Amino acid sequence: VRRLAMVILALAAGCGENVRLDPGPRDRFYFPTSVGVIDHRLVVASSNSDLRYDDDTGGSLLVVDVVYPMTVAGAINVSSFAGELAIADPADPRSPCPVAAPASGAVVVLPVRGAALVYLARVAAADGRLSCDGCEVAVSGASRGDPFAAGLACGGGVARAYVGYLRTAAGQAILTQIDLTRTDLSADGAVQHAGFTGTGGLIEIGQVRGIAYDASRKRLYLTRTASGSSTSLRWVDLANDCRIDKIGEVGGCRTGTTRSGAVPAGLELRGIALSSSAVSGAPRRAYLSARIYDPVAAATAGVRIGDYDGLLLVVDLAEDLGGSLDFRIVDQIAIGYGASDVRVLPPRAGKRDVVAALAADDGVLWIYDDETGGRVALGRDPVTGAPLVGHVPSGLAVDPVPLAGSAGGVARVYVGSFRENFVTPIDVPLDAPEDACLITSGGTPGGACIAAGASPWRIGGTP
Amino acid sequence: VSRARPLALAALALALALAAAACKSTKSNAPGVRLRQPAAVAVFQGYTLADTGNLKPYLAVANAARNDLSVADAVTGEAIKSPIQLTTLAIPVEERPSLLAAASLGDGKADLLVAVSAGDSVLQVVTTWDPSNAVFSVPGADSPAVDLGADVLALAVVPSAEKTARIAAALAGGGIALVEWKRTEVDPDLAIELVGANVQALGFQAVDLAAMPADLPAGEQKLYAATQDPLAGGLYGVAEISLDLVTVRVLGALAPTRLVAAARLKERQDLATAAGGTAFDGQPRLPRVYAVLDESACGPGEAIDCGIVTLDPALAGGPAIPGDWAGWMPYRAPMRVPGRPLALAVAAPPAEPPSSDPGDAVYQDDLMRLRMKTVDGGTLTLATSGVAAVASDDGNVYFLDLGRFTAATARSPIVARAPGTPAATPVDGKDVWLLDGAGSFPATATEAAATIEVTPGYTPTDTFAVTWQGILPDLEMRAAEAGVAAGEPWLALQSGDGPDAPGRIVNEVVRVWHPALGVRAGDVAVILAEGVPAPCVGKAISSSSKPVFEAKIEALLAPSELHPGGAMQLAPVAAPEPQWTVCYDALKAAVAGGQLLGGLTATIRAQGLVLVGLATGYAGRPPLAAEHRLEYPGKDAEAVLVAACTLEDWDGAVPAPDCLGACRDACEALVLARKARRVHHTFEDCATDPDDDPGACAARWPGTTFPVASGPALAFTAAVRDSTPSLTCPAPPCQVTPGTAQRNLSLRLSGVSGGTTPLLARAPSGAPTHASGAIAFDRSPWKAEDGYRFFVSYPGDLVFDVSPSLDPPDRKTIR
Repeated sequence: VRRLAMVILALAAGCGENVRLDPGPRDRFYFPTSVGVIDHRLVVASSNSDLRYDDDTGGSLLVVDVVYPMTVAGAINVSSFAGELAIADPADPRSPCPVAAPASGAVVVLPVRGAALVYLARVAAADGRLSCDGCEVAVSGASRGDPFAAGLACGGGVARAYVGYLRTAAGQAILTQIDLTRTDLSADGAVQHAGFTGTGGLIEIGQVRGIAYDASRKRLYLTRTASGSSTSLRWVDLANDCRIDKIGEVGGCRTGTTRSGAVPAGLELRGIALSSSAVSGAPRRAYLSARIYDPVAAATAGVRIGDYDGLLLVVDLAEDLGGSLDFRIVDQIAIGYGASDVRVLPPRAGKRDVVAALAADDGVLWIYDDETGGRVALGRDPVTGAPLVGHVPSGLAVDPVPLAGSAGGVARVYVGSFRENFVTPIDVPLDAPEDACLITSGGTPGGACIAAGASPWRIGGTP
Repeated sequence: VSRARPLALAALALALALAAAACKSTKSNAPGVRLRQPAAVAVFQGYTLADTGNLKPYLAVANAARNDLSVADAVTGEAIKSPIQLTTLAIPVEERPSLLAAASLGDGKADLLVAVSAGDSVLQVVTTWDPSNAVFSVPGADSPAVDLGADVLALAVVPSAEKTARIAAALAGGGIALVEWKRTEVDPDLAIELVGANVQALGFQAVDLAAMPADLPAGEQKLYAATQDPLAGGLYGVAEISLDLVTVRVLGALAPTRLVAAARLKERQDLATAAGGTAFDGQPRLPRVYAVLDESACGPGEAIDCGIVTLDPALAGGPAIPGDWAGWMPYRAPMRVPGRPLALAVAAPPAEPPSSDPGDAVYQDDLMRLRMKTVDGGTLTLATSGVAAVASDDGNVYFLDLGRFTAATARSPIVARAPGTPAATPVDGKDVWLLDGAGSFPATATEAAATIEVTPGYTPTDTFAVTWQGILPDLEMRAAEAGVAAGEPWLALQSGDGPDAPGRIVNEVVRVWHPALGVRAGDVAVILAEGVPAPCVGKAISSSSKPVFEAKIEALLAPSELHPGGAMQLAPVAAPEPQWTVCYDALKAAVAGGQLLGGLTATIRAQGLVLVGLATGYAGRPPLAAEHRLEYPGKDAEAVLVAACTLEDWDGAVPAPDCLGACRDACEALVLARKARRVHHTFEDCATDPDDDPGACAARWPGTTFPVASGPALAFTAAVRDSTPSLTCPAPPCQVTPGTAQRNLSLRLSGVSGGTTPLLARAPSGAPTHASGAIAFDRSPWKAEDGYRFFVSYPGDLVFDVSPSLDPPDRKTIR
């Protein structure tokens, strides 16, 4: 009888429902990891990093109107642990991305680590509503997991999303390509995975972290984590509709790296952004963030040791006599701990770029004017030293279309705060980048810098 | 059994041990300075809490990550304690200090100390004259701080009249400022007040600044600015700026510059070989500017090699590099250091000699001590007139002997001869070996090495290979495309997108039109068969290799929109394999209609012997059984070659200049000449190192008269010998069998070296390699034996305190 009772008890327990947590909030940010901008609207991916909400739906992707208080134009729930996002926008003035019909509007590419999914969410051009009807692409595999980095190749009829991974077999550099011009992503070649090999056919160690595409050369640039005394900048040419999953074979894409030693030892390349101006035959200027580490210890340990400072590298990318990628450092600017994202602001007529670079661990956003060499650091209260863009900034975005407000226009930059669940807008007058400032809530671009000691506008947070 | 007794004994022992420990004099470790991401260093004299009544030298370190300046005793390197004795003194400054400069007012009182925050236009002033060390961060009526209106990118101290101090600032946007302070009249013993700032537009962007030391007559004092921009007349180099900031003259350096320093010193007599001060006897003190050349426009393919170039202000207005002391090159070659220089500092001779030893009395005022090793490991002490420290991104601090305008070496390069270790791998019973002067093959590697000619000062450190039909550097398994010209196919090493069309994207363009790559008519193109249409299947060289076919490079085609790097007109080889003919014809047919055939892969091989260095790259085509000399042709010859080579400054633009026949010969000669330029200014002769046996030294370098020693970087005679027992070729040299059978016959010369081992100091393990700043400091007035020092800051929370005045380079780490 006792045995029977135990069986019944066990069956009863088995019939009970699992406790299912609520989906992540769709009216606010929750551990945001990345931000983007489309049609002056802010796109924010939240990660549910503390798993307070449901694993499968605890994350979110929100499109909000940049007004105070913020209003949500579109929202979907995504799986927990969102990574970086990239926006493939057919209407992007700089690099229009011809994503597949039938739905109109842009596609938000969002890798999510835990479930190893990539969301390809649609943003309605008219009102910013988000939709995701089976838009998830499973990218897991035996050799890869934790998709995180996101990038795009747009222009010249090409619309492709790229995803890098935080976890790969043997630490190999692996990249996934998703063809955004296709509606049937199960078709052959629509989703391709590439693992890179280096000198002597050895696998290339270091997870892909930064992705940038040069449409004028159909060339993709990849940065990756350092695992030895030095690293390199890899390129992949996308010409002739080649396949990245067949590198080294007939029909496979061409790929290569900078020469050994071109990237100084002890520098781990992180973010990369290309100049907004491309002159045929001239070197392509690139801006890269880099973290300084101990190359000697790293060579021994096989992993990066130390994180001593961060640099914003100003680099000219060109081909040398032998057709190899040349990495010419023009300038290097110390920006502090946790050098991460880099973005180029909207172009200025007849002038070099203005660049935003994030030193995440220091909580500082740098604005660099490549025309004058001037630079300004934002993010710390000048009186108290308090972090103004968050203790752990995560995600950097630039509105591709300047706002009115000064003669040359005002670029709007956004910095997400992972820990404090807000996004801070920063206005950069393009004709005077040194006047970049954090702004008051609802302030007009270029004209409402916060006063010393005042709190800036924090979208999703307190005013 | 009772355990009470042992326990009691143990307790007693423990109590005694504790008591003994308590009785010991306890002394905690002295706290470090507690640096936090040092971005800049400066030494100032002033007052701090450590000694409120006495003027002392202090090291100020800008802690970028903590928004303050750490202060340490510049003599001992020890931290200055804060008012709360548990921590070290830190002077708060504005956000992320990145630049520091300290200037004496020449009155024996407290110095001016200026700090600049990253991305800021304000020169903040630290009150060195008051132990409170308060900081004036905001300009104003009663503040010595000054806002220059644009981001400050670099600072330099400019000598000034007594009781005044001047600092120059390079400003973002192409501006420059000269700011002057003076000892205040209200409180003449102490304070410093702002006099004013002169801000001017330069028209170029200065990225670093320097000024001559104070002992130059006031009217001759100038500012020197490194810049990557072109200056007057399109010249690149350093800008000399008058102190009213109005007049700018160019010091032409043949390349843009990134870092600059200045000194006034004696330079050795051109042919002086002495280690001591006699090398400088009778020499005048001359102003000299030293600049790090920008790597984008220097190197073996450019008009000047990379390194630290010497400039003579007396030549301002044009090319300003002094002449080569040996008369063999048109200018004094730059001083080379490995890696990419990140910081440069120059030290003048110390005020006090390093000891009271009469023999050391010479090392002050005009001369300073620099220590090398002798051949036996003893100390070889040099007297010189200026020393520079160069912090490189390889993690080392290298030293330059400015008096001898050379990179300091650990020992004399002439105490050993390093022609490399020859090694050959026989193929098909033959190998490539060296021939001696009598036309015989030396029996051993040592004897063979003796036939190789190297020249201290010209021979680079490298490993070379002489290979029969070797692969040309950079031209192995390259992407290629084919087209047709004059009915025959051409091959271009490039990767294009889609069919021929206007604006076609072409990547991986190998500029075979440029002679630097060494491609010549008659060379061999080896093409993978897999990219060529049927019926081509090719022939594999081995079971593990892909099938290929070969074609002869009949001629070079000039660059065009179709092949922007130029192309190689192909022809069938003289004695082809059957499949080669099939593939060649298939290739010809595939492009016959004028269409492009992409997706090919090709390797280019020399038609005969080719010399390649791992670092040097293409180094010419040694003839069989005749001498090959990789040698600089002399001071006037390079200019002649430049004039004859229309491709000298070709940047890859299409159309490219025509260059065939004599032009190509001149270009290739120019390419090789530039690879044989001076790499080191050897000053030694056989008597310089007292431990070197003069007789052995003379035998080591027969026929060489030091220090001039102008000669080839590498010279040798190679030929093919028969190593089979049957000796099918008994009389050397043998011939190589045509075809592929004996291809890759190779003679490897590993360990070729000019003998230069740099004198260096390396930051301790656990440190990053990216120095953030460097300054020189004369510690001798306070601690004579320490002599002159260099403080080099690293973002890994340390400052390296180093001096080559001691052997080995004395190094301390301040954390």
